[in-house]
Amino acid sequence: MANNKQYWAGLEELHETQEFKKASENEFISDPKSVDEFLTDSATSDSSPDRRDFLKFLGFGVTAATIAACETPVIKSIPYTNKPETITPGVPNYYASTYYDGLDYGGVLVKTREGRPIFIKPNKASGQVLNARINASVLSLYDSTRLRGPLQNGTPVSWDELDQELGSKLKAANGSIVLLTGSVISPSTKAVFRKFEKAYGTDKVKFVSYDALSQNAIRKANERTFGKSMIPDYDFSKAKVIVSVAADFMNDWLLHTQNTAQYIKTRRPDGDWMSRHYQFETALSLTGTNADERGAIKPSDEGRVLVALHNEIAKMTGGASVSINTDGLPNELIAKAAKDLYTNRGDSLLVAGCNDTDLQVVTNGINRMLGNYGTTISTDTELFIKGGNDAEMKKLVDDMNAGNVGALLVLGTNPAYTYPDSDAFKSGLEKVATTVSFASWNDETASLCGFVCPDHHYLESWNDFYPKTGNYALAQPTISPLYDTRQAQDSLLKWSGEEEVYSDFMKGVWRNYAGEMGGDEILFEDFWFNALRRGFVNIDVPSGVGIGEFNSDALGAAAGRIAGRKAAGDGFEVVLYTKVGIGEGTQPVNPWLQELPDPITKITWDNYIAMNPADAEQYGFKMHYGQELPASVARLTIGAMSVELPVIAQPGQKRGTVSVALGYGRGGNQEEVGRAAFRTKPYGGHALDDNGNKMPIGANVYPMVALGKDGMVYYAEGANIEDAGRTFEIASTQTQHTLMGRTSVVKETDLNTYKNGDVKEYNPPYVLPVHEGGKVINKPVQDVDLWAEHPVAGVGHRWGMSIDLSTCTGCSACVTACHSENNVPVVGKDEVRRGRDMHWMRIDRYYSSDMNMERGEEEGKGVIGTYREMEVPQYDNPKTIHMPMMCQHCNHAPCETVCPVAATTHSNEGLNQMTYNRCIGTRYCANNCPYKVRRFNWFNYKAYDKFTEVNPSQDEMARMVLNPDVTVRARGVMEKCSLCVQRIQGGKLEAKLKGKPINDGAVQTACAEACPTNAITFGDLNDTKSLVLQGHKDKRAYYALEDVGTKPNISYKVKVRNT
Amino acid sequence: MGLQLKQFLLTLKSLAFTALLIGGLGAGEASAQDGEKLFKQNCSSCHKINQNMTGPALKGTRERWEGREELLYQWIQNPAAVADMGDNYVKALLDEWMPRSGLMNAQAVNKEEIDAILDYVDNWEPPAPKVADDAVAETASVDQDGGISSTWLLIVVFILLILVFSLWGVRSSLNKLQKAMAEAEGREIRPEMPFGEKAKIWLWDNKVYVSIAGIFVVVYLAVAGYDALMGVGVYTGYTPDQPIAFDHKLHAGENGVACVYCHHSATKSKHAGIPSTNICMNCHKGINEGRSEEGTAEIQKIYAAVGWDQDRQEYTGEENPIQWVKVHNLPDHAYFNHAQHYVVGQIECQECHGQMQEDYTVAGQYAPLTMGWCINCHNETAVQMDGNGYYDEVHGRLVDHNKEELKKYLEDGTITARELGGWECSKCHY
Repeated sequence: MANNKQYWAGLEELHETQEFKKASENEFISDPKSVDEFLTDSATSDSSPDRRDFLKFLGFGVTAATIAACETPVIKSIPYTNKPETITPGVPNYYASTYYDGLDYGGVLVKTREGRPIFIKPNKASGQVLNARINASVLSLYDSTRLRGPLQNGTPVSWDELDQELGSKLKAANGSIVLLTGSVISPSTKAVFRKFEKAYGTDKVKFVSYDALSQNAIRKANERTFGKSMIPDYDFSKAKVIVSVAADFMNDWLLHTQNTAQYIKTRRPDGDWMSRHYQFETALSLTGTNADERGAIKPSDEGRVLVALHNEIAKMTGGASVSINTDGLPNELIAKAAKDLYTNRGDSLLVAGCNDTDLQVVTNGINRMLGNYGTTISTDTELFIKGGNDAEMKKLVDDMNAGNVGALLVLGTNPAYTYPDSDAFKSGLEKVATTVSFASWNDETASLCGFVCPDHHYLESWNDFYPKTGNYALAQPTISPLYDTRQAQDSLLKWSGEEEVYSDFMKGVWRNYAGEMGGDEILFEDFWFNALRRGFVNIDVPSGVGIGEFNSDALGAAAGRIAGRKAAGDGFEVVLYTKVGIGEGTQPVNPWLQELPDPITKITWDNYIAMNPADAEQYGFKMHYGQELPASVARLTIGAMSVELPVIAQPGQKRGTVSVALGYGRGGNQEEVGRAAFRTKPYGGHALDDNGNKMPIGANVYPMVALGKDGMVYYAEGANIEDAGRTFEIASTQTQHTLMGRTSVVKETDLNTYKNGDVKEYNPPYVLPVHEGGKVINKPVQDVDLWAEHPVAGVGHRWGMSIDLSTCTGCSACVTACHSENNVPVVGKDEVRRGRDMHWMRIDRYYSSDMNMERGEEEGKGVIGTYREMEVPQYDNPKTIHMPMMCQHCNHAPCETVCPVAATTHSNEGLNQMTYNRCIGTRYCANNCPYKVRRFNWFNYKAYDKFTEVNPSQDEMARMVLNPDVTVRARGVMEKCSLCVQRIQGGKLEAKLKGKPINDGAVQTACAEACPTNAITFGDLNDTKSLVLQGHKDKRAYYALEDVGTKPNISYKVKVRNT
Repeated sequence: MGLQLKQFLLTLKSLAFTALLIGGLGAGEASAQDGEKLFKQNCSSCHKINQNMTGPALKGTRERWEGREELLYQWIQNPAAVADMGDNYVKALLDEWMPRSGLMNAQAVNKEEIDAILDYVDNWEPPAPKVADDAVAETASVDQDGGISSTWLLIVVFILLILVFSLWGVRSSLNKLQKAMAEAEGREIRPEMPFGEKAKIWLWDNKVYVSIAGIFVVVYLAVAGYDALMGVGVYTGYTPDQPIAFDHKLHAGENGVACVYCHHSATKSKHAGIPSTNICMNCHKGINEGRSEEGTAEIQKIYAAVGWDQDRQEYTGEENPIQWVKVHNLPDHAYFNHAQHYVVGQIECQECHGQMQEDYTVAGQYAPLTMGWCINCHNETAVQMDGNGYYDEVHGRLVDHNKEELKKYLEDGTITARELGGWECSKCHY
């Protein structure tokens, strides 16, 4: 019997509702999709999986991962087929070379591992030291945004095609062929230019050179005063008194890498004498922070300061003075400086930074009055750097616009970015039929040129240099070219119809001069080998060449003109300066430099308007900035040009002036200048503006440089500042400006107290009141201890460091060196803003405050009120101190006692060891560190896409810069300065292999090696003859936060000012 | 007795005959053997008999120099003088070989010796390939060895199977019998219990034994599991297939090539290094034949990698680097330096790499490379201080500093790596 009863699943089925029908249709999918369809269906991939799918994925994922983990990984290992004799895998090779980019010049030693340059250290024998920009230059080599081959009208071509096309175009050039360069100081390159000239006609080919940061006025002033357009060689090491008027001679003025080396020689309080340094400037510069006396002046007053100095000295010598209005100048300081200059006449030095011929003429006049020529200013040797000619450049731009230039070749300079009137340059460029750029990036100029023939990076190039009389230097390749680039000189030789490659050509040039350079033509190969090995050849210079007759009329006329200049009008004056990290802006791509805290402001990743705090207060701009405190944004307008930048309250900035750094705002038109040149979003990716364009970091203020009739002027008058009504987050590594009376952090004194006073006056021992035998007695802190001594004294090695605060200039070369040596991750602006910067060493900068405890008591401010005022630095002219701070390797380390897993322990060589693979990331150690030097890996910087734009280890090319001897740390572990333990181990091994004791100085940390002033000494404290032990035993030696009782292995030396 | 004597005489006779035979043969081949010896001493570093090497193949030298016999002697004894004479054949020879190999060195051999060498060369025949026979013999013997044990095993298994079946048959017949008896006696047949129930009852009845066995099983599983987990990432015995079947036994063992001849960076670097191919060519430029055809084929792989044209005896410039498979994969966070251990610590290679000279493996992991293994050695090994100026200085400081401290170190008579900090984290992790 058939069963015809019907059962319903529910009332919905009985009534056949719409919902039920729909659901029943979907119960079994009638149209099954193929796997491919399913996977490519965006609706599926966008939808989030449900719980069951999630569990399936999870189960599959875990199983797959487990199975995959069990399998032995197959790693291929490919040895050399034909191993070069000099390369041993695992052992570094060093090559001497030279860095030069128009601003920085220095002899370098390039450390290579398996043929990859990974570290740049100074070639100290060359006479120059290195700065942060040169140290970091190795990273730019590996940048993956460098051009990978030649371009024609923006499309890749082969070199052969380009040579053919360009060769015919150059031959047919209608009008002159102009080679526009930065200052060229290479004799062989100049010889290549001659070949090029010969090939295309001497009358047709013209050479123009110009410097982004011009010092053309010095040449012109010497022409006026001595009849020769030249820059003499200055010797800071001979000067007992140095007066600088706006010359930042340790950062960007002339041969600053040599200046620093010389300057610091006589800044040691233990020498026979210590130089006294006066600085008159507007913005607080690196050089200014090191001055014994500093006067803040407006940039328009530089001339008046010089004339006033002249008058004061003339008074003493009995010479004629020029009447001048001295209102508003730091007259007292000028008189003091003049007196010191005069007292030490013949052993003093006056330098001026401005690119203004009249001012430089007066400077020459004063130096001559003091008899400094022949002593601190050489009359025999001259500098060949900064050979740019502002007037010729201006004429070239005019010629281009007039259509007189048939072909323009741009080498080693980027005028579309750095030339003040870049709009005129760009419009002129359009009128030039054939344009060629040799830039390594498709930058502002290259992207406008028809042909781009990318030059090698300097670490891939051959070159020679002649920066000053008698000093020859060589650059040699340290790696095969990474991309299909060609050295510019090779390109020029090829287009000139020469068969020879540049390396041979250069050798030929040197062969001709070998005799002059103290070599021997017959034994040339030996000479050449030795020159390459050393990286430089210094030859004796004939003395008594003289500098020519001084033209007194020129001095009078110049001083008269300065006195006659009309006073600056209302409005702000703007100083355009270069920052220690970014310089002229040639390496925007370099995240190490972008993340380097500026030595003065401690701000990273940004450009800003620096303004005196009093002015900022008046405008109502924010005075403090930090993680949750963004800075105010101001609009700075000069004529038609205006930029919007955050405002920083900068103590020491002259009131009524602001300063803005050059070198920012790269890639304003989306040029490919490197990922790190653009702003990033807080969680990864480039920040885009409303049009979807990448936004450059900071603003380009080169257009604010005035093109006076005398050349480029790096300040402007009559600027207007207004509140832009918004805020901008900035990342600073130090927002605390003063020491708040903590004398155990930094100690300083003046030379007189140091020389004549008792050690207790400038380096008082720290005592602690303790209960003993029922009464309170003051005991020296080293006698009070909770723990037993570490058995490190006298046994084996005990590594330590001594840091002289007197000679630390704050230049931050050590910070980039450490970055490079220890694979320190770059974390980007957002993380720095949150206080998560990873620098293993930092340089703390403290300003003096007007308030102190005694004064507060006298004035009845109360403790809180006094401290509140002590927090505020002196606005107008604070004393500044730089203090390098890294792990102090305490013998009684507070971090070691709190680690629950013994991941940080003490070694029997005195090192505080950090073991990453043991660390579980509790961060107790960092909390317990009184020096705040421990850094936590909050993220997986080498993989997390937040850091793709900034972290080099995420770039397949830039990753090659990593030091293979140092672990790349994982997320969740603590890290900190290891005292370069890999170098210590390496140095010990080298000694053991040789069977000899370690010589003092043979093992150097990266920071000590990079330190241009030898302020950092590293060595073995158990070696009784070591320098570092002397440093620790010195009268000036003290331990930072000695009162905490940590017993560090790093000591500091009291800063002595010569006031 | 008579039989014994007869046998003795027979033996004596055959011995004498053998001696005669050997003696006679020996006398006849004396000069050829001298020739072989002389060839190996003087010529074989540059010449092969039937192949060009640094110099031309020597087979047929007499024919080629026919009519210039005296010149040939002079040529071998003083090539420079003959080269200047301007003989046509010599000139052709020089044109061909000078650019590649330069002029031959003068050889200190007299005419008789030259004759012996040339005789040897002329009479030389390439050895017949006998590798195949060896290989067959080897496999056969392996089969035999394996055959015996597996046959025994099969027999045992067979016997056991028979036993199992017969016992099963006995049991089922007993059951049937029991049933039949019960039926016959009219007793009630208990329903068959399910297996699970039976097992439960059995377990309960034997709970003491079961718990004892259980404890063993749990302990065993725990130990095995622990071992398995500790073995994660430990690849002792890892011998991956390599692109070239390099024979350490032949090179380091039989030929006695020192480990650091090829792995020379072990003396100065953290890496011992896989030898670069040009090091192979130091010897294999000359040695182009293996002991078997396979060996020769492997040598050919070197030539392919380094771009060596065997016929023209020159490099073509076409390089195909050999892609070896890395065997010892130390984690990135551990630093190990060969020079430290091999040169300073004077540890033999074999301590960590096993008897490579006796193993036919291209490369294999012998040591577990675990941290426990490292620090155990650091704990036991005395530091090699003698004659090392570095240790004189560092140790001297200790001696000068504190005699008590020193005693602590010398308690057991040796200063181990651990006592000098060999157990500290930053010695290997940074």
